[in-house]
Amino acid sequence: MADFTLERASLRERTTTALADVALRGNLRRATDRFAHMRAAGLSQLANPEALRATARALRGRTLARLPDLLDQFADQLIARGAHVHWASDEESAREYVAEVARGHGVRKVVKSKSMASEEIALNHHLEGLGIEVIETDLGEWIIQLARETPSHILAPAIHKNRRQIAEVLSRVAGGDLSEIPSELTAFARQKLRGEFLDADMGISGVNFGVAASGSLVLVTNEGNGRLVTSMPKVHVAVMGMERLVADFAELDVMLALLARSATGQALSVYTSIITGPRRPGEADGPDELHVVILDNGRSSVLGTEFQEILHCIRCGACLNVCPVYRQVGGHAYGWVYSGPIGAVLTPLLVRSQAAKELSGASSLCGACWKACPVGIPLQDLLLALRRRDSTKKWSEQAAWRLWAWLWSSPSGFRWSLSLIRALAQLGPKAPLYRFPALSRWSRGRGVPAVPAKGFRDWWRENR
Amino acid sequence: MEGESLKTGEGSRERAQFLQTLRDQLARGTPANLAHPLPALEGKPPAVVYAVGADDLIATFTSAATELGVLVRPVSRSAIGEVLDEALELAGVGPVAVTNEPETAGLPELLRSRGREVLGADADPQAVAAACLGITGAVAGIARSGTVIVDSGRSGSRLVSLLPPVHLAFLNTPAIVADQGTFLRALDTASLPSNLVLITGPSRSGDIELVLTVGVHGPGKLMVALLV
Repeated sequence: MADFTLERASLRERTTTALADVALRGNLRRATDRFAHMRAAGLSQLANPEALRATARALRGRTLARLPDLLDQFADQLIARGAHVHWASDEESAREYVAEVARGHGVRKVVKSKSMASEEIALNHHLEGLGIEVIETDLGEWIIQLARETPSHILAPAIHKNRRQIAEVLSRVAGGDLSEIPSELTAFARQKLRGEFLDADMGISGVNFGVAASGSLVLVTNEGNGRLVTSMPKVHVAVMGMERLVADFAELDVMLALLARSATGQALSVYTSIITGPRRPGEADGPDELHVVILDNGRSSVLGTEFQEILHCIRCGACLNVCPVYRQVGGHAYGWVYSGPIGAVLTPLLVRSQAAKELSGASSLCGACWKACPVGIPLQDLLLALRRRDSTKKWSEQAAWRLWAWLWSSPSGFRWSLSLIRALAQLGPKAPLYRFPALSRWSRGRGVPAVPAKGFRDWWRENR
Repeated sequence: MEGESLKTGEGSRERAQFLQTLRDQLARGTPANLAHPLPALEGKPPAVVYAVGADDLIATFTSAATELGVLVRPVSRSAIGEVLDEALELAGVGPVAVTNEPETAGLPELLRSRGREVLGADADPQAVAAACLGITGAVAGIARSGTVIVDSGRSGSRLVSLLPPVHLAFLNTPAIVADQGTFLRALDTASLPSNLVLITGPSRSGDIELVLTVGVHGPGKLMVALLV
């Protein structure tokens, strides 16, 4: 199920495919525009969104600086309230633990609410390999699960599909034709998935925020599937990226004031659940067991580096909607779980492969993502730093830069090199010169600028 | 795992190793971003400031909730039968699930007198799912966002406010606070229930072309009776 294309096709191939898909680009443009408008309306309810973003950025920085102590406290609180904690240093450890819990309870069917962390560790695929049925219950996530695709947006996983395409997918499950009316498709999903909730032995969710002071898990959903997943089955497993902590409820207030507003423009999402331990005596429902998987999976290697701030991300999706690259190519072109500017930074840091290194190039460095980010991550700085880290240092290229620096460091070198360029330019834009590999890669798809025969210095000498 | 020493219990070695890796990494000293330095903050974050005031809590609550499609009905204790009738008409035929909370006292009798089968908070999930209406109390309301807060410890049930297609919540007006911050910052971390849910409007989805549809998994209709 977790069939990502990162290693199978190059960035150029992936974007070419996306750009050729006219329906995809229409769907994307409409959706990202609406998201951006909703966000603007949501933030206008705040007296000073900029000041709040600065506060949130400071808070995230403070949390990461104290992360080991906060995690320690968080785990103590969880255990004191009867939850089980698993420390997963990598994806394999996380998957194995969840599988073990499932085996221990003879689980046959799992209901899941949307969780980027579980996508990251390809949990569904692993559990299905063990003969366990896994059902995604977020409407968008369910649609792409049925279509055997991967999420293309952090918030709206099926954003790349229009209602006609969605009706086709759901009609296959219904065994008959469904209309294209969204409310009717939604009603079908409710009825179909309700049966699965009543039948499931285990619920798997992500975590939006963990509260260190109380060991609470905060889960934010609009549909209510997050509540069902964490209330109906006897066992609840929450998979949490280790950085998703706040110290206390005052900090949670700041994060919640920004999260839904930045994501969908809502003051609060419909359901903000604060889960503290499993079911207590006297409660009619809720899971008997709560397991929390705290996931490192490469995150710790980012701590203490110039990229640390990428762990401030609260997964609102705002940077995707404003990114001129994402808006054209959509999420699948990024090749892995996380897309848009956040994906272009996070993927190369978490996935140590040559293929992932290309992603920092998928940006114009315009900084729109930074301006949209509720916690003010300077994504363009991080993208630049990644390019610097991953640039291939060819000797010819380095020699060329050095020659340029040397020439332009003296007036005579500057003059001489400009007259050389002018002389070459007079040969015309189709000159054999531009067929040299180094230049042809640049001039392909670009117009070669016309250079006047006479430079400014010559003109000045004659006309002053 | 329960009770035994937290530092020596199950998984303690993994925990120590996990956290040591983080400490070692942080000890390298995170390089500062010179172009956009990280701001510092001491103590608790200041309260979130909103663009407009929320002085009249009931009016603010009513307008925020109404905008989300919530039916808000101010009602006196003696006249709750009217709200109940409206909710029953909205919900149609079938049993009604009711939690046992201070705000819902007396409701089971009123429902039975109207010929309805009444399910308690401890009813089987299948039965609650088949109810046409779920009725709960609310521990608090948030004026600015039109939110009602349901506490599993008090209601004894998470599903009554979740499974039926219509949810009716009874909220005492003095329990309405201005902002989420007022509520969250006052929480006693030592005595939290297992499940506290802030409900802001009916269940909704925008996963199909971002067209707003309601009632995808939770109740498609939410009614709040404001007890004045």
